[in-house]
Amino acid sequence: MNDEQRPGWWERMTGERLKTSEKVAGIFFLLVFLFVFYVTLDANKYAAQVKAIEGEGRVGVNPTSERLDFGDLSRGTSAVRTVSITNDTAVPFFVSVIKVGSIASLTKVDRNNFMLRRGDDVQLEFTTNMPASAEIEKMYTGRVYIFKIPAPFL
Amino acid sequence: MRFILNTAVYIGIVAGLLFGLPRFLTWYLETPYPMAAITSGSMWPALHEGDLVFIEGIKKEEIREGDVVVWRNPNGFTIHRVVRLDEDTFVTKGDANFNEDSPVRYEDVIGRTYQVFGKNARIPYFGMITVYANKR
Repeated sequence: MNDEQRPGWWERMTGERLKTSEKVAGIFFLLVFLFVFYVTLDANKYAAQVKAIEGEGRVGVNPTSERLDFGDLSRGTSAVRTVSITNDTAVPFFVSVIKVGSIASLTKVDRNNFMLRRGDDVQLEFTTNMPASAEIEKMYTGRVYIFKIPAPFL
Repeated sequence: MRFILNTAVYIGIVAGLLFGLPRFLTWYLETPYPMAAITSGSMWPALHEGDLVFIEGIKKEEIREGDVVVWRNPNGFTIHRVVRLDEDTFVTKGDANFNEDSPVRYEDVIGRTYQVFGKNARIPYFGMITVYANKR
């Protein structure tokens, strides 16, 4: 009976054995990576856009369900779009909304960083205001991410 | 022993930065309020919500139209652009706002945004903690 174990992949590649602490750290970082990967993959992602147009009180609407399109807005006007999120699972979620791009400064969300419990259905209201300093004929674009982070202990 | 020394040096550097940097900026920029967080979008796109900006002390005669100045008001501080200078007061307006602010007394001015290569020196997102605290 041969008690010698065949060296593992890491040992064959590096010539050194992993210490127990290194194995534990490796598994920990792998789990963290998988968690972040899952949350990122599961996030609702929307392209967002609005165009600044000349004039007063002019609003042009281009409604689509795939993107947060606020249409054409003249300075001083605003448009609202809603996104519905539901928790159909048994696990509560912590919901966090992140906006990026040039439209991020123009858009406000009515609710952010909150818990979504089982069966909850929430309407998130995104409002885009066109400020006095907006550049006419410029298209402000960006992306909106709605992260749903599993939080079973909260 | 080496570990303890390394830790002590590290703590020294961090403490020096935390306590020394604000004092250095106060001395260099000649104002007791050398840094400010932008808590609204009223100066967009020159300044964004969540930016950390540097403020330099300024005398009454140095204020020019177009400067972005910080002044004290009953609700705290405001950072807006100077649009008109009068004898005893001046008028400001946020770039993104449609209306001018009420006239400001020169003695209420804290300073002007510090400029680097003609642009406001700002660090994006470094003022987010203040923004978040204001909204709570």
